[in-house]
Amino acid sequence: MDRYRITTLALLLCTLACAMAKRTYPKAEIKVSYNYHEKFLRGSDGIIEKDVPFLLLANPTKSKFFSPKTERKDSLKSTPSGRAQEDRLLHAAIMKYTETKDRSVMDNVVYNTQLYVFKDIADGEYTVYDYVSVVGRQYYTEPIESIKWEITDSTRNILGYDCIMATADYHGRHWTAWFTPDIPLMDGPWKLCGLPGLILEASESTRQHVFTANGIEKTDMEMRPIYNKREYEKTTRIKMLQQKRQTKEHSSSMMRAELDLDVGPDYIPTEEEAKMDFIETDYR
Amino acid sequence: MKQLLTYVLCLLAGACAVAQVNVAGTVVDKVLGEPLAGASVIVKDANGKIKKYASTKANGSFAMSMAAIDSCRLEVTMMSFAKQSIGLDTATFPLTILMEPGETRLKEVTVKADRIREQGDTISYNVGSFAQEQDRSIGDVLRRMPGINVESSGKIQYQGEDINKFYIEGSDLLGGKYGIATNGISHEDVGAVEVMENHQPMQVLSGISFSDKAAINLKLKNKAKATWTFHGDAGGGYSWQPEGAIWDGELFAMAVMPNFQNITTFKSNNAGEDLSSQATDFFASRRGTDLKRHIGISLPGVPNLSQKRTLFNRSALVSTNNLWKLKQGEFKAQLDYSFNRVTADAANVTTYFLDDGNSIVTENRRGTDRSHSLSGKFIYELNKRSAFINNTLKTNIDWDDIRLDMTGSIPNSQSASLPDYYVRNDFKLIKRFKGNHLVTFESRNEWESTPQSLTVIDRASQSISDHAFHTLESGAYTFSIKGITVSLEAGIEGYLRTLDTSLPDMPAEIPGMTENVLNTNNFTVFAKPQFEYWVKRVNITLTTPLKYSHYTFDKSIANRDETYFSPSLSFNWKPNNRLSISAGGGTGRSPMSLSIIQPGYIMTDYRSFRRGVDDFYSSTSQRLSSRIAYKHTRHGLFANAFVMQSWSHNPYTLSQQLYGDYVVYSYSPAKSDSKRTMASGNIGKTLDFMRGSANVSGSFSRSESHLLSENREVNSVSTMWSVGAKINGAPLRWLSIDYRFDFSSSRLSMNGTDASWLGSMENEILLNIMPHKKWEWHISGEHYRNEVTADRFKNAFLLDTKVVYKLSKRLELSASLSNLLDQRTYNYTTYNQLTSFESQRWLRGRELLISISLRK
Repeated sequence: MDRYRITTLALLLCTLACAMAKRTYPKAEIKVSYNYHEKFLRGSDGIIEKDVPFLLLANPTKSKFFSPKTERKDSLKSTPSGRAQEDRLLHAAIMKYTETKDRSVMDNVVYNTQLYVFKDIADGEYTVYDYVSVVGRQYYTEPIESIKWEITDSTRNILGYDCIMATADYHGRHWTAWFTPDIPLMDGPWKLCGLPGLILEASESTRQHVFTANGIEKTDMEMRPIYNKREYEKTTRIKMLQQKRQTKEHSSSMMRAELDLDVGPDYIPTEEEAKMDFIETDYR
Repeated sequence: MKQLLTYVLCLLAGACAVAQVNVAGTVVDKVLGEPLAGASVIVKDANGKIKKYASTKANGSFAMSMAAIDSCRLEVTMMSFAKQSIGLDTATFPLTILMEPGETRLKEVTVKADRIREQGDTISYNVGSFAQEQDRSIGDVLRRMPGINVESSGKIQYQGEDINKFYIEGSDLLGGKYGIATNGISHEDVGAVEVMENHQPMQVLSGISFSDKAAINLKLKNKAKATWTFHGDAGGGYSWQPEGAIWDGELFAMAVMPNFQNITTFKSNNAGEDLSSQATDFFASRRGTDLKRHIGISLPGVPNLSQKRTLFNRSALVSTNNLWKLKQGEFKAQLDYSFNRVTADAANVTTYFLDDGNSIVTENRRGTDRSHSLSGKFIYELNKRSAFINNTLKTNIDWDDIRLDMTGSIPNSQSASLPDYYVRNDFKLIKRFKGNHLVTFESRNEWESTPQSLTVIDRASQSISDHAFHTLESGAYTFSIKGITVSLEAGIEGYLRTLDTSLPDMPAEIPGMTENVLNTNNFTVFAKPQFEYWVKRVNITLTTPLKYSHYTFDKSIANRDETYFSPSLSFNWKPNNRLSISAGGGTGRSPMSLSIIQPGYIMTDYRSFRRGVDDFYSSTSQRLSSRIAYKHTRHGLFANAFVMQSWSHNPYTLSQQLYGDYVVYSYSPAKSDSKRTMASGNIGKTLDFMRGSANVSGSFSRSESHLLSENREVNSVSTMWSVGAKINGAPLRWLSIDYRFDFSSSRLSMNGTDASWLGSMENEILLNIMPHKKWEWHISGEHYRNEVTADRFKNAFLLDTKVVYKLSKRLELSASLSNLLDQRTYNYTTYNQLTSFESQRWLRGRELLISISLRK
């Protein structure tokens, strides 16, 4: 009798495990890697340029734009043992950094970005997950507004695809995008979309923010939703940007207030440095 | 009137209504009959220009209102469906478009890590994205990385400057002998090559003392970590010249464990590869014993052709290198043995240019050089933020026996034995206390002995015994406040040397002593203050060493006391991550090399005799240099340029005198000035479209010097410039290409008379054709075009081929046939200071080599 009970239990567990494992997510049809080149102001270090590799997973109705390294870290952090491992790595890196002052040691353990953009073209909305320093992780969902793209006559070849140039104003910046009708997906890097073909390159007029595709593959990868969703606090786009600005300008005083940590006075940027801004500027 | 107006308005409105066409419809999956959401709908005009576009909604519908649709077409595309194209002239709306399943053809470009990434001061090159199918070792791939230059000796430079460390997984196992790693480690075991700019190897000095050098770190793939990796090649075959069997084999083992590293390798060949250079220590500091080789015989070489074409050798190399990480610090033991037997034949005509007619000497030379080199190095190192301790014990024993037979104007046989015994211990301790205060103690002791002998059989015999001991003990105190570092080093230096030479049978024509018995000793006290300013992106370093030396010469020359001051200043500015500018200069007085003091003659070869100075001199020199380096890692662009000018003033001049067929070199107490200008530049760029890279380089040098020949002053100016280009890549899936071009031209002018420019050009190409993933077929060729005399060119074309069959990932078979056209000789002329040199040389003939390669 006992043996029967154990077998039933085991079977039940198996079915449960299978059911859990079978939870499927929408599959992408294409995988595009982009380099996000960003110029920004890092306090007294001045203007820093950074390259972050991003991936776009997309099918005709849904897409996910994220950094694979960030997702790997987030997936680690979603389990207790992974969190412990992350803590160990971070601790070791901090020790090494304080000893050698070699910044690259830290680059391997810290986030380069925490941005995720999930688009749902069929439902006409997108969700952005990001991190605002001191404040924490936040997300917002907005309807996809149709960007008023102006298609021009200029063409260019990118990664072997004939691309057409289009321009548009979007959230405070003037964007130039190169899209290819040969890939029939009305998608692109970050929030950019709505052109009759995939956007392979996009830059705004000051070139502080540039996305460049450097790889395209067919795929059947799943577009898994974000890890640890409960950690994100709901907000709105404008609010998130304003908070980012606030923390950027007053990080030292905020640290003093919140954490009782004295890191010197707030840095006052030069005129040139003051021109640096986020990818969206319509929050001001 | 009102009616009319209404009418006109109605008409207008009607016209407008007619002009607007509502292009609408539904897109449906033909097989399933379901509406398709997210399809792209485009209206194009007759020229194919996009007029309007939309995407289908969840119910598959779309709608666009257009002014005119004459000769327009509607295109509907969607991933995994075939494109639909409908002429709109005859269409009736709403349309129903049925989409048939079909493949959307993608030109796939593999999604992968960036080829070059930059994180702070570290630049990371992705090895897989630079390697080509024909590459074997990591050294082959390093050569393809823009910004990195591997010299033919194997020495690595980054942005034109020698690297200062070579790490494997962050550990410095090999020191300067990194040729063992670059020639041995398979590129498939390496994930990334990291270049750390401005690398300060001593952690205790990081943030205190600036370094303008970069280090390289190999990041291994996980499969090569915490395990032993092995690979081996064995090849055998037949050569048409020298006629007989050839072999080429290699065994390589590497362990990279958390607390232990080992690289052990054994190599041997007689196929034209000199292995001793692979164990060269590129970081070896200059020997303080300062002994030189007096005997000047060596085998004839072939300067314009690559070694693999001209070297008739039997070579072997064994090297084992171990590193243990201890609780405190690490211990390293390295042992190397290399053997090299080289034979060479040459026919030469040497012409000496003299004002009263040229003097011509003809000789045919045939020689054998057997050299053995045994070295051991034992290092203990503690490298922490608070302290640095390093003790290095090193011994080198080299034997070099040369036999050279000559026919011609002066037939003779020479035999030389040139052993060199060297032991050295270096100790360095740096301790940091109270934050930014450092105390350094350094001790260096070296001993060297070079008992050389030269016998011209049946004629003369020269024997030399030369010993030196050098010791240096110093202490330094350094402190650093807000970016300013002041350091004062002081110490003592001692040098003891004895030279004993005898030449019993000197040709009667040459007057002078033939024996030297002398001691050249000195005792030095020195102080070396250094000021360093290093804030944000600017570094300025001023060093002002002051030396007081007391020289004793054991009665042969009067004792001397001298003071030397040689300040130098360097400046480095990195305005941003991409650009680095540096400049520096120095001036000063320095003692001449004591090994030049030698009042009696030494026979350096069968017809040359050399005498040194019989007094003590000091020389002065000045130097200015500047360097600029630029990089844009995202575009894979690296560029650097370097210029240098130096002057030196010696109170003695080298003079050359002929006595019959004999040449006598000596020094005269006449002032001699020399001047040297050098400039070089290099630009490297990735070529992502074919997974390749390209490199262009150029250099210029001009040196002006004086010497006395036959009691007449000769002012010679030699000028040289060169350009080179390299390109590699895989333009097609089944084809990869390596191409290299070099051109150099030089001229020698004497007393204002210009000789003509002589140019030499070299082209090398390799095509690797991969008809199937298991097969590779290499076709390679080298073309040389060398200017023998003005407007007369000597061409040489050498062709090779190789077939590789990859049985599995672990096992590979190959057959190569080199010098297909079986070119066996090569003639050329070169100019060398005051002589012209015409020669005939022999090449390695056609060779067939069949090899098997195994790896774990």
